[in-house]
Amino acid sequence: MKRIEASLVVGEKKVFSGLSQIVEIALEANAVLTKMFTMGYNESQLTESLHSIQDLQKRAFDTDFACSEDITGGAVSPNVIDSLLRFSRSAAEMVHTYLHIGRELGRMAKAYSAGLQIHHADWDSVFEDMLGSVEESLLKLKQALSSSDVSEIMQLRKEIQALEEQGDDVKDQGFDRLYGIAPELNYLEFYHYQRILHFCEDILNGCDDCASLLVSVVTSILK
Amino acid sequence: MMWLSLAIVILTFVAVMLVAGNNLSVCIGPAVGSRIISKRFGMLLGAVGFAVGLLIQGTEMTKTIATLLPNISMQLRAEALLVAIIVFLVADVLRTPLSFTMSLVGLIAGFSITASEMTKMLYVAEVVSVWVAAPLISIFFAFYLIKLLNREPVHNLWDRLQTYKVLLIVLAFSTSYVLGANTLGLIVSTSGFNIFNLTAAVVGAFIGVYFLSAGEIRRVAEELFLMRYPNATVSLVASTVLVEIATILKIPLSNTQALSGAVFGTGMSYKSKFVSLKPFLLTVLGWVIAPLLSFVLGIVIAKI
Repeated sequence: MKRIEASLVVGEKKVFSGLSQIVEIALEANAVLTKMFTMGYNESQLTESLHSIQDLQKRAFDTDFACSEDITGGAVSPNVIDSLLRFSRSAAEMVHTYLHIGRELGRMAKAYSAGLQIHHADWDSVFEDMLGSVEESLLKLKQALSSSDVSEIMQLRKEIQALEEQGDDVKDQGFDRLYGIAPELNYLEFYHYQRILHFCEDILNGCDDCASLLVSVVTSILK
Repeated sequence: MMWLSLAIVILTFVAVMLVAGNNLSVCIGPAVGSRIISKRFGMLLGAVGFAVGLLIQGTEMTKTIATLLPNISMQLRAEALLVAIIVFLVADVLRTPLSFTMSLVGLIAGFSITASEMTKMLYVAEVVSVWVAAPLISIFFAFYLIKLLNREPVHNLWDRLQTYKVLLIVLAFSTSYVLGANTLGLIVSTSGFNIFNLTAAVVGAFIGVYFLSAGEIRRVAEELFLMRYPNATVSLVASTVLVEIATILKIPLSNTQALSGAVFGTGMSYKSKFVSLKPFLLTVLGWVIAPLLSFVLGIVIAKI
């Protein structure tokens, strides 16, 4: 009887709510990271924020684990199990990427504390733009997960895709600028900026992948 | 005489047990495969469906026996059941898809011809026509129904999904019900509708479901019914409707025949499709061979 009750709640709906929690955690991590970029490589402040991201990452992986259990053990169509598991893993990986960026900022702060000269060259605006696009994408992804309107989900997926393309352009412009000022930069700074650009792009790609998986799940269970 | 009656009760029990164990997976496979219900609950639902179908509408199938062999003896009843069971078991060992309904009707028709009791050729023609038409109707019915469903705009994703899930539970029961009424009804009609045979059939249905169906359910749920909710729903609707109509018309119809057609029909509705024709053609070949082989066997046995 428990199975029937669970099926009436719709197993997929419960899974979507779990996935939405991971996206919510990613949004929190995005806010913490955006703030980290304004800390001017202050080692102690960055360390504190890094701990917050570590906690969020742990929460994301715990939620991913719980979600995976719901997906494989709940009243979920076998056709969509793989896609849902991939969604859950990708969303948790996005939060992990925030941790990579946070660590990268922390390491660079150490290098600056050791005497390396800072060449800001207004980099903050590039990352702000990218993290802004990521936030918008994550909000749309969360909206899609809580929507019961299929056409709205399709529309949100298109918007997330457009944001990913927009983010790609910002990243390309960032790289152009980076290579333009390369002679002034220490190799460590060059490596640092290009890594962060790649990480931000990974998060945006992750949002786009999750949105595509969501559409594939919805199509699979309805048509 | 008493020994023969006892033999018929045992043969009825064995035949119903084999059919119930073998066919349960087709009835509850979509609901269990999509994990809407547990295997244990599905088994209970299926067994109750078989029993209720047999008890409520099973007597409709007596027309087949009354028409083909109006003066069927106890010995002939026992022989028909025994040979049908052997044919079914041999086919199972050879892993050949074979319909028990078709085999049994073929055998009885063979007995009937030999005993010169085949007076109503029209009924045989009706049965054969239904056997040919049912899979075709099933293909078209499923094809257009799934197209219609896909064209219908989905206003609320969760409401639609919930409807499919509830429907799959209802259909798991209704498919079992019609199989109980038609196929199990035919077996009991062959053995003779009396309290002993009926009890043996109901007990056989439960034992078959609980002891012979587990492997089949796993195989069917994992392999065949990795179907989408709409496809599984439409396939079961098509087979339930067709077998119920056949039962009302007092014509034996294999439920796998209707279901296979519907599965094929839903598969054809995809925009891009890859249809593996070999297993489907093998199944169709089984539908042709089973009644013909049983018919010949019936003639040979009756002459011996």
